[in-house]
Amino acid sequence: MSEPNDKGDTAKAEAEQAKAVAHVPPGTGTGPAGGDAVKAAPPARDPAAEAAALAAFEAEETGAAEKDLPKPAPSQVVEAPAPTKPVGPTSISDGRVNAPAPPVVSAGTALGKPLAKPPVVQFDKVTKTYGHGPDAFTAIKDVSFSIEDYPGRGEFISILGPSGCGKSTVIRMIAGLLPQFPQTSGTILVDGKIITGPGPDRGMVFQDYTSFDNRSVLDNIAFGLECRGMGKAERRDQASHWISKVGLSVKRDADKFPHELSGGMRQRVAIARTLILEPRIILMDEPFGALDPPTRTRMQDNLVQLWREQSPTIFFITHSIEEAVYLGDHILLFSNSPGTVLKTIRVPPPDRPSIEMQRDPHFQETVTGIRDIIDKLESSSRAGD
Amino acid sequence: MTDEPKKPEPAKPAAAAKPEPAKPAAAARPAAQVAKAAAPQVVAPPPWWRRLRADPPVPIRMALGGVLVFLVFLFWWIITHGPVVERIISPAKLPSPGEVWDSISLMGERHLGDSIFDTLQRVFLGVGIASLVGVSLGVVAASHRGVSAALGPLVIFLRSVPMGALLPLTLILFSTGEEQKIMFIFLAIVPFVFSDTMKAVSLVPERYVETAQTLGASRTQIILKVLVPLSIPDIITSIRFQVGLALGYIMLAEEIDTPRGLGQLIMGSEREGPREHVYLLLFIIALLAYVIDLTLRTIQRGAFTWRRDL
Repeated sequence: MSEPNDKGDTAKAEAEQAKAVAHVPPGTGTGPAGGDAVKAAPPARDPAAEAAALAAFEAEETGAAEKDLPKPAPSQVVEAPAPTKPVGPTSISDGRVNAPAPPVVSAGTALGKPLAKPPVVQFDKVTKTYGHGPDAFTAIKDVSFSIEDYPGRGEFISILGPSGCGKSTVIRMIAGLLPQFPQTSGTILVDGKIITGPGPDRGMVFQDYTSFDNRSVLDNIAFGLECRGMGKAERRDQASHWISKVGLSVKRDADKFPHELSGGMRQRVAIARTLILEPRIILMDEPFGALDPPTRTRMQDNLVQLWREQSPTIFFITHSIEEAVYLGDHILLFSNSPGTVLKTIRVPPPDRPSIEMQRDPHFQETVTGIRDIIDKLESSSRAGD
Repeated sequence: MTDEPKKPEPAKPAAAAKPEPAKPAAAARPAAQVAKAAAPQVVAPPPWWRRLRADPPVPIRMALGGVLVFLVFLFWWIITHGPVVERIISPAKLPSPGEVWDSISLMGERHLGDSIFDTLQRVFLGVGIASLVGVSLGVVAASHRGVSAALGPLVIFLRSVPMGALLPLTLILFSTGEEQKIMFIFLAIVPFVFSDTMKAVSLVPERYVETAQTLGASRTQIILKVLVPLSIPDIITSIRFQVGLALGYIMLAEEIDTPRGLGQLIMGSEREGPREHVYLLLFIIALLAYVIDLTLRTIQRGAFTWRRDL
């Protein structure tokens, strides 16, 4: 079950080779001295290396774009979804619910066999506007992306973008939460079906602590099972199991109440409470945003481990490029308001603990590369407007 | 590695000695000198009276409270001191503290215990029924705002009518029996319990509702497992407050044609004497109200340990 997914899926391995740029085989990071690995970062600041990294990135990105982006990504960096000429998924016209085998899924090249199954999540020219007339505010505009369904291996999608660009809007739309849901126009499909409202198949972890204050840790985690009508003994049994899975102690923490927990512990409870229901999709809106760096790193590792075990598709909003690069397979890069997907970037999935991986010079290069892309995108999108 | 010994040296010389265990004696001497020179003076925190919003220690708090009580009684004693004819204030208006205390012996004849029981029974029945109706309607109205819109005008009317003005209405409808008194309490209390319940339920942050939704809770489950449990401590606070008010309203109701009750007792004392009992009953009623509130509060704190602010 927990077999590394990059090996379990040959197609995936192929994909990794295809990009191969920023990826470093495990073991390279363990330099002569562990402490010196940190100091190995400076080379990334070397302009030549940086340029090379960036170039590599661009190349990789373009390659990936062919596979993943619904539209041909030209070599220009800003690739706003041109509303005038719909190049993308032509077979999915607005309003039509079911698109049998959308052309977006042309992943046959490197990403593995396209499945008969519809994508896990598909956005097609989704726009959300609040209000009418001159006061109307457009939160997101023509957002299109498609996340494939691979058997036994959910994708990890990091969402990066400036504040207020509609990242949360996208996630809350998938969750089916008002007022972001429903969209003003466009199509959102989850497993090929239209969303009608929130459901336990799409779990959500918020940045704000949302543990039910009146419930102990155990009863918080068991909440979803309780709602399903599971018996007390059984759900408590399962919940105890999950307490240890998210790194809490059954003995010490099970009967604690949220006010006795630290921020990190509360988020662990929130993650356990969501994962215990084995959702197909997990939506995480900056869940570690309020945590201190060491806690954050531990939580990232814990999340990666749980993700490997359960293989849900995870959407993860973050402001930290490092976090996005470490956790994600994909990074969806959002533009300023009104938000739209500027770019889809493929990054190597986490194959080592966060601390170790972040020490890796290649990891640093990847981060720097993405930071440059963001800077470039932002400056040109500003110029464009 | 290189800058590590540099940092602690000026601030904490003791710590600097640790990384170099090879020559502890050499390191210790200069370190001690540094410590002497830079030994920080321990500064006492400012006393409570110089800090805004700082509570004095418990003994001082009690002493300060006691001083004022003592002064009031002293003043009372001074103006009611001496033989009746020589007093500054007539004993018919204000008896001396001693006379009030002595009059307690007459209370047994006047069925003080039974009066307290009858009064409390009316209060608790009235508030109890008002809570059942007010809380359930409030929860429904907060969850389904259509109900709230429908009930709004009636609630505003009841909240706006002065309590005393409701008394004649209950007298017409229920004559002067027990029902009349209980209904009076009910009518006076229920709109406030309703409004406070609605407010408490509405104030449960939306994120809890959203979390419950993404965990698969149905609407009924959200009401019963999320909204009600999270708002109930605040609802109880409201009810506790209403019990105190109801004790005031019942005095009003019991002044009219009531066989027994604290209100009847205090009114009778005013009309027929002994006047001392008016003062005595004031103390008794105040003590009663305080004890009831303290009891409810203790129960509330014990039941909702997850709420720190009760």
